[in-house]
Amino acid sequence: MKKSLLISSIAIVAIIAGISSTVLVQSNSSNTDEMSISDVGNSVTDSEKIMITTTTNVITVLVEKIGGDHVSVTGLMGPGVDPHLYRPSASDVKKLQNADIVFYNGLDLEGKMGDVFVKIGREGTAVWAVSENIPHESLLNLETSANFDPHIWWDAELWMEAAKVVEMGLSEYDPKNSKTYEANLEEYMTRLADLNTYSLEKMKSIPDEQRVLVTAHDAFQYFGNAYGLEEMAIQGWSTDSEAGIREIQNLSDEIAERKIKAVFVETSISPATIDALKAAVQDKGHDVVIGGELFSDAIGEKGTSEGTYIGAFTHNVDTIARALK
Amino acid sequence: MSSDLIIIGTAVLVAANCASIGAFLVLRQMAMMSDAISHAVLLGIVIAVFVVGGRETVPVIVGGVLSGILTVSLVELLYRTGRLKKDSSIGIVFPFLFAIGVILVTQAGNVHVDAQHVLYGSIEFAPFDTLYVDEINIGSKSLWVLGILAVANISFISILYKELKISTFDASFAVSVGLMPVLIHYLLMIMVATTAVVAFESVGAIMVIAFFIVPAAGSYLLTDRLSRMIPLSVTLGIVSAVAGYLFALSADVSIAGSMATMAGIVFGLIWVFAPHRGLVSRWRRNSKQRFEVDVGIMLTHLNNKIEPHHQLTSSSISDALGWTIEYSRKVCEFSLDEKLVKKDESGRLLLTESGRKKAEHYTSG
Repeated sequence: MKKSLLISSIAIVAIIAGISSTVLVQSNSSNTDEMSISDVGNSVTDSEKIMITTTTNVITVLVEKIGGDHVSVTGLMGPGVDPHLYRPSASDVKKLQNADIVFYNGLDLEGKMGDVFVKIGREGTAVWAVSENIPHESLLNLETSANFDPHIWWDAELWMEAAKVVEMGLSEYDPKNSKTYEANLEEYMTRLADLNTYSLEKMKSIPDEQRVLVTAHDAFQYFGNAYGLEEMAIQGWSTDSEAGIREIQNLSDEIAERKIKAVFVETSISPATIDALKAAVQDKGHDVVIGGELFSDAIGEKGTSEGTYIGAFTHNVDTIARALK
Repeated sequence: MSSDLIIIGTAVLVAANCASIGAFLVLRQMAMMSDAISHAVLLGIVIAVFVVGGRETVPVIVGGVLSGILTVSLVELLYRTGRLKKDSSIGIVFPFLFAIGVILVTQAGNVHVDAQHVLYGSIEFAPFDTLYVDEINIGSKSLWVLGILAVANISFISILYKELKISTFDASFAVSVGLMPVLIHYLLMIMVATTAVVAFESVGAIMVIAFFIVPAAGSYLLTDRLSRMIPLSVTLGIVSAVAGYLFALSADVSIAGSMATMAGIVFGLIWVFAPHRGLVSRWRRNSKQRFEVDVGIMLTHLNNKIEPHHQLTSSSISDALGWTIEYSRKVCEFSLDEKLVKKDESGRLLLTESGRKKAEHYTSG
């Protein structure tokens, strides 16, 4: 057995050293190699589009808006995917490897994946967290925790900051088209500003005592904060922890007492918790309804009207206003 | 190319770590231990995150390993009381520790701590998770970490091979020759806990749980010798990993999931086709045994009907014993070949001397 110990140890060390050195050699030479390969490929098909990989589909559509025809964006997470439950597939490896620029949300939304992005950044790929320019005083803390809430996209003003980061990332990588990116950004900023005004007005139309947003996990802190709604959630930030009975009891007491008209389900989360809450409120003699489905961690399918950020945002605003008025 | 190499290399090292030490889990009937650890780590992770105030990798791993060791120790304590079986002990301990973790998470409000978010890695990202020494890139982190772990595990098994073997198969004999099986057991379980948590961090839970048990269980169907079982188990793990990777590439699905699935398929093939313990060979052996019994029944039948006026042929046998004519003919032909019966001029079946002895042996025995 002593001999086999020696042999297997040597074998393992040799394998690691071998793989590491071939990979290092390749990564050193890969810059030039990949350039020439992508040049050849692109000149035929994609006329030098920048390959961009994103995480959530909210970011995907943002990059498409700012980048326009100059970018080809692939998102790792599709519509309806809870970032917590995302599992990478084999092609995601290539999507990250072939990316010229990676845009991700940051603020720990992607969990351990965030560490991977930082390391990809150290190896020369341009990597940007779209939340990185938002000043800390604009960020909301999660209750009883030093961590920031990552769901910044439900505040249109904060999302403007994200749009600026995307423009910065694209212009830095591709300075000769920076005029286009700036123009796209400017146009998009006015649309986001319009969206912001629309949402503020729409929320004002709800009677004061009804301005409460009850959902299954608190993805809407920023939304509530920006548009004047009190935000109540059952689950807490992580979609993994199950709702406690006491939480549901407390919340249903409050809903019944304040006669809140509606509670909401989310597209990427099972409606079971909200159904339980609804039943608990009805037991207390108050008839609460499910006000509709809100987009939370992801927006709608491409091609539908909710498949754009503004479309999904408007859907949420209209759904809330309709149910609570 | 390079990312393929890193992913395969990582999977091979997972196989070397988990499948080798997993052989002992299978032999000691503790197969659910790795699954139990995957849940119990939550407690250690939560405490580590509270203490450090963030989800840095090293404290999280340390917390995970400590709660893994706590799990295996509590299981052992419960089992040693002699009132519970091993599976019950495991089933009591890990939900208890996991539940304490859940309470701590909810107690702290909205802290987003769960094993998936904080500890479990993805083999898909192994190519991007590089290790730096003095700002110099020295290659994939999972290769280095799992490689060092593999050296540790293989050294552990090789150095304590005799002790592990004897205490696994015959603990009381191990005590009588002064080998301290309890100590050996704790050492083994500490290796299991460490291996599991470190591997979780590199490749995620499901692949580790599968590679601890499935290849070892498959190789146990192929051999009885521990010295062959361990390398065979690692080999099966490697085969599953490579097949799983190819499948994941062609179907564009989760790599870890495919590798674990392939481990299950490889086991299924062994379960059906293994030379001695497989389904096919067992079925063959059973039907051979039944045939031998039937030959005995026929010989007894002939022995009971030796009066000369009886016309004994394969068709009268099939009537008397309720067999199909075809089967009776087959039994007769076999008995003729074995010279247990003979045919006289008119085609009647008669017992030979050895046939009669055999028939009497059946009736008396």
